[in-house]
Amino acid sequence: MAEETKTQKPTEEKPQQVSQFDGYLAEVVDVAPGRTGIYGEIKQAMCKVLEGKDKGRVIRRNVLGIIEKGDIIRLPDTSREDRKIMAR
Amino acid sequence: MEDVKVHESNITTETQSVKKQTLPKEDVSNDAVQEDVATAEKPKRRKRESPVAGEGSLLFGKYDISEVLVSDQSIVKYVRFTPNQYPNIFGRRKFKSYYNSHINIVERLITKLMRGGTGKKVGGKVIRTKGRLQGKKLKVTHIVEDAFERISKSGKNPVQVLVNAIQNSAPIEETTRVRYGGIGYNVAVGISPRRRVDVALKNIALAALIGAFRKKKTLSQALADELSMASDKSADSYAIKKKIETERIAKRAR
Repeated sequence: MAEETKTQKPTEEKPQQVSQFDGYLAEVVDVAPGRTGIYGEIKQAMCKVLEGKDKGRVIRRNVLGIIEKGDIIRLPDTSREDRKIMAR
Repeated sequence: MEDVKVHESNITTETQSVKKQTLPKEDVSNDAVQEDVATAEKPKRRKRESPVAGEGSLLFGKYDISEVLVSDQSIVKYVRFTPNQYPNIFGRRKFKSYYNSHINIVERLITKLMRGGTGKKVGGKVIRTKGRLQGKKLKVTHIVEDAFERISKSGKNPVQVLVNAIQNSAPIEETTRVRYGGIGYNVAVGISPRRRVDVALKNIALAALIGAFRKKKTLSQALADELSMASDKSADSYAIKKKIETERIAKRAR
């Protein structure tokens, strides 16, 4: 009986883990003041990862578009960390 | 001790303010009762009913919004529904900040379709609507209504199809230009959830214009085809092609 239950478990868990969409969810904890990028279109956000192996980690990321505290964004990879884009 | 005094003074002011608020209310209610007695025979002006979103509100008088599910968590905040039969805000929020993200998602599709063309060449052709759609909101609402009716013939809820199409065609990554020493590079950046919805809606609207240009298809037909294709994640859809292209370029430039 024990062997049967072991074999059944992974088949039940797989559809829960695989999500419909790409990337990992991350919540915006803080938005840094000021802007970066050549035209000033980019903001820097501190994101707390909610999924994957880096769960609970806080990363700094460059984000395009209007963003505020409490937003949830999708990151394609959670390993790297972004720096400021200098004007020159 | 001083702190305690401050607290006491605060409390007294609060109670005074509460009393001031309560007293006139009672007067008003008494007056209202007297007025009711006096004007009982006259026909009262009917109050406007304001139903809660998702309860008994049918879009275009046919489609139920309460069934619709948004499964992508990042977009949930910015895909909104209002209990209107014909969603139109008449530009009343125009001068408030970020008004775009607080209006109905169907109205956003309508406003995105009211444009003069694709903006740049697509497949070597310049596509222009020549003022047929610009500033004509009622005309475009009828186009969207017709497109939804075509989708509903297959047995699906067209609002759910629209939401699925937005979810599938919203990109994750984009690129910006950076210049080091006179040479331009592309650098990958993330996208905020607001912009994800904007880009997805823009590409769906463009696909409808391209599909109906110099062809037998009408605009509503092209829009219905694009929505149903994008909700099924088929590669023929223009919006999904664009999404894959932008993500491929961004992945190369990481």
